[in-house]
Amino acid sequence: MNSLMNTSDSGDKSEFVANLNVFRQIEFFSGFPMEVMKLFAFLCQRQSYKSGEVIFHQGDDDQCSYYILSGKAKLMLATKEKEYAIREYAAENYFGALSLMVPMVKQFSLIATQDTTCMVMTRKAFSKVVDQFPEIPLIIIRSIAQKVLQAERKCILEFGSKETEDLKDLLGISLL
Amino acid sequence: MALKTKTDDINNPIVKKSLISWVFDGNLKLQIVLVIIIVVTVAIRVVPLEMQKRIINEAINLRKLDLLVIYCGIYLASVILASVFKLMINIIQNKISEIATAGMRKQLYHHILNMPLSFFRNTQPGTVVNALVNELTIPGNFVGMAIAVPLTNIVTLLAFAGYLILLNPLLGIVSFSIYPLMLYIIPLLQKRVNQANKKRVKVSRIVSSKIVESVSGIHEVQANGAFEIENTKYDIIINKLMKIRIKWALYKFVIKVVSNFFISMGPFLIFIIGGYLAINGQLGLGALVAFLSAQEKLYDPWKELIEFYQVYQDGSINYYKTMNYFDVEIENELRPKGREPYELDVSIKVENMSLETQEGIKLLDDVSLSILPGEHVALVGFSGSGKSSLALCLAQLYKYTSGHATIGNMEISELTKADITRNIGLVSQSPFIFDGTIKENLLYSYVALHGEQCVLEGVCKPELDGLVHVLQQSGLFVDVLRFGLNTIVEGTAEEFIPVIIRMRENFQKEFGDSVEEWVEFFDEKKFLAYDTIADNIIFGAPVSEAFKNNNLVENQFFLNFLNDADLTRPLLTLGKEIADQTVDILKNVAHDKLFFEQSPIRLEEFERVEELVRQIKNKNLHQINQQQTLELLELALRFSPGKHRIATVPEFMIRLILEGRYLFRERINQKDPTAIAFFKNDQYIHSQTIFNNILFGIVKTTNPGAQEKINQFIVALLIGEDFLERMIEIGMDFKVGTQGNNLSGGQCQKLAIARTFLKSPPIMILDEATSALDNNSQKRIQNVLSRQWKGKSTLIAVVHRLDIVKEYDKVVFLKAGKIVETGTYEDLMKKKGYFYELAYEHK
Repeated sequence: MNSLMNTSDSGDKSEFVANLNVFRQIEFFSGFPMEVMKLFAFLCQRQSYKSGEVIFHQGDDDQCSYYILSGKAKLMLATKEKEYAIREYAAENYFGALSLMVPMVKQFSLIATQDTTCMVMTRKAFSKVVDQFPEIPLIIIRSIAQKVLQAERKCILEFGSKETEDLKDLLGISLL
Repeated sequence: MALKTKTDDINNPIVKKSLISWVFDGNLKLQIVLVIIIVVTVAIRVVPLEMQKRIINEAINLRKLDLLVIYCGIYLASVILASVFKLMINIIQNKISEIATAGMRKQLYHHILNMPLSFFRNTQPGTVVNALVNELTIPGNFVGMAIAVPLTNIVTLLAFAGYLILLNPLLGIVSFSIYPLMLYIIPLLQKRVNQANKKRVKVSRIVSSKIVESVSGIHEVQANGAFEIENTKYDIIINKLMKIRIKWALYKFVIKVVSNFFISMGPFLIFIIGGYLAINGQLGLGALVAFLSAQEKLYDPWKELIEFYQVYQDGSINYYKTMNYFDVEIENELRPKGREPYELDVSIKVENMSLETQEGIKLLDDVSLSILPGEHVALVGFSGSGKSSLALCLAQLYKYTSGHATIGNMEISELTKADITRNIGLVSQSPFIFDGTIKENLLYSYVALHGEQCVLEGVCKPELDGLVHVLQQSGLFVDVLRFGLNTIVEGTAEEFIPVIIRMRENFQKEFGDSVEEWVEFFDEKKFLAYDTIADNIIFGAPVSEAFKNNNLVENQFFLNFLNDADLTRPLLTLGKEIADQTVDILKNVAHDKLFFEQSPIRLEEFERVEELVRQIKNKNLHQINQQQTLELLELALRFSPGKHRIATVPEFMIRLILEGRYLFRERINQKDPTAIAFFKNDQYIHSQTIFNNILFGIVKTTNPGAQEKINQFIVALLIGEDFLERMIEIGMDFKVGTQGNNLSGGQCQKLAIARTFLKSPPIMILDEATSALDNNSQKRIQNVLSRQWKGKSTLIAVVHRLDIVKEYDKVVFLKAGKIVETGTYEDLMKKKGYFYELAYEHK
């Protein structure tokens, strides 16, 4: 903290401009019109977490989505019996778009493994913006349908290559 | 008094009332007074005619000056008197209009609030607003005119007719013969006007919907270059509208012309017949003058009658259109007649109950269920399974279409609203929070139950302890505490200043080190990123008005200082950046308060700033005028780099500000040492929140965990000073904003739960009441329900989280409107049916 001011960003670029550049890189938002992304960049918040701190917690509806700006975090899944570390994420990963759209609890926990800074968007801000742009829901639906289809294809590929019976139950999600 | 009008509504609902009934309803006395005044006025109106005749026939003819003076005197007096009475008539008439309009608005509003929920699903709020605000003005006007205008004018016409016939029967009858003819022709023409008017309204609506269509589909139009197509479509409708409007106006003009023509036929008849009679010596010259001037005077009453006729036509069209729209049967009476609301035995029985929509869809299908007093029942199922419908039927908000549902053996559909609200408390899925304070919202159900009078007079006023208790139960306590701490205390806060200072000392002693990374302490060597530029420069609380933030740019001393500290130019650059960015981001969106939290520009200023940006576009800072300079400076001074992310404060500017801080202090100490109370560790800062006063700094972290920790420190201190309840009291005065806009979704739900807990009803119905809460809050509220309300209140909860279902005595599983499983949690898990499957899926 040798700077006279305590903001993490230095240089002439405002946080808003930096956020806007980030939003343009996030796949989920890439089809959105520029004016919408500007609003998102304007409304989102930055939050920092110490190593070991929980960013979001499995089972909570925190109504937020997160983009890791710096640091690292691991995705955890707790079942009745055991806790699994699913994978570790570095900067430039985005989580929780679904939480922006509907009330839902997080299915995983995300825990900072280094000091981490995230760009956080809330459901309230998201819906205030989306309410004003009737074309957005359609873009979102297309994007989600794509994701579901991709997941299904991956599953089918896996099933085809290994022919494990276990995977059979998981097939068919794209037929919802 | 309010109670009386409400019961009146039920006996004779406003929507069934005829427009005419308003004429006397509550206005009887005024109308009688009006009739008396009118009769007198009309009598007085005839006097000038008689005087005219006498002045000519007697005074002038006989050359008698004294008679001339007397008659002129009487003439003048009667004219003055007539004017005074006319004024009184107008005043009374207007009062009746306003009373009637207000009466219609009140009764219709009372009626609308009581209408079945299904009505509101298909109705735009705008329609209701329009009905209550605009549509009832013309009917109201009509009511005011209903007696006065026809009576005045018809009686005037009759009086004149009588007088003239008396004067000369032949001439009198001839000159009035035109009116029956007009009475026949004008309604015929008016019918055409009405038809054209209805068509005009209809086509105007088509025009509006066409415009709405092309505006909302503008992307498609422009993308396809379909301008030709849309223009043609629009032009056709507009041409149609034009033709109808021309026709409409034409008929109106025809009425005017016909009416004028007939009226000018009057003098013609008098000249030809009266002239003949006068030449033959059968009519005095005075009488002829009286006839002519009477003819002229007939014009006004006649015109007023025609206008009245048109107001009547428009008024009744508006009135009946509005009333028919809201003419939906009220399902339940508000209050019981001749008894107090029941205190029901709270056992609930549902037998073969169904709820069918008009389209024939069964939302509930042959449902049977019984609930014992004090039992806690969870309704579970997929969305659309009917679980909410069942809960709402029990709360009488939906009316089941067949079967029975009883509370204490009383059929729910036959109970009055008062019986239901006495016994049931409902927390809905998205509870509505009303504009006002937390406290007002907290007391909402309680006051509705006990009556405003009772609470105001203190007879059943809830104790502070009781309020605090329900805040704790619902989990809103922490939020209210935070609202309290975030209050900037205005005026007399002297009583607790020593307490706050003591807490500040203790806070620094006990927690100072551990929170350093989350809090920006007021340190004169440091720039405060989370405070405004103005605060950073002044670094104290303004005592003198001239140094309060809003007045700074009008303060020449301060402006001079900015110049000398080399801050003006950098601040202008910053101000311009803020204005440009904010306008660019927000120019095309509807303005919402949330959007303005990230910018120093306030919602209500946006249009002005937009204008400013337009004015100074393409201009350099030296080219802008004084006013524009001050506006930019004001924005920059309000900027807080930690909060507003649209611009940055460069390092060199921070140095200038810190330098400036010392220069400012030096200058103000010379000029007016009492103008500013500089931030000092042993003084209360009036311009800052209580929270910042305790911290002697500003929290900079947005990390919920860190904030939680700081809160815990503060709560510990508050408890230590025995100041917690006082802080809650302050927090309960927090203004929630329209529709609770200043609260989060979770806070709204907690507030709704707290207000039901405070009401403490024998039956509680929770319709997914905790859906917006985090896990821990949900669990805490469930704990409170199971520990403190079991056995005390019957609970019917629509539950979407299956982990809390275990706590309920009975679980009811619905599927497609039917109850498919009932039993305890263990029963259903063992059964391995629907519930088991859903529970399994959730894991």
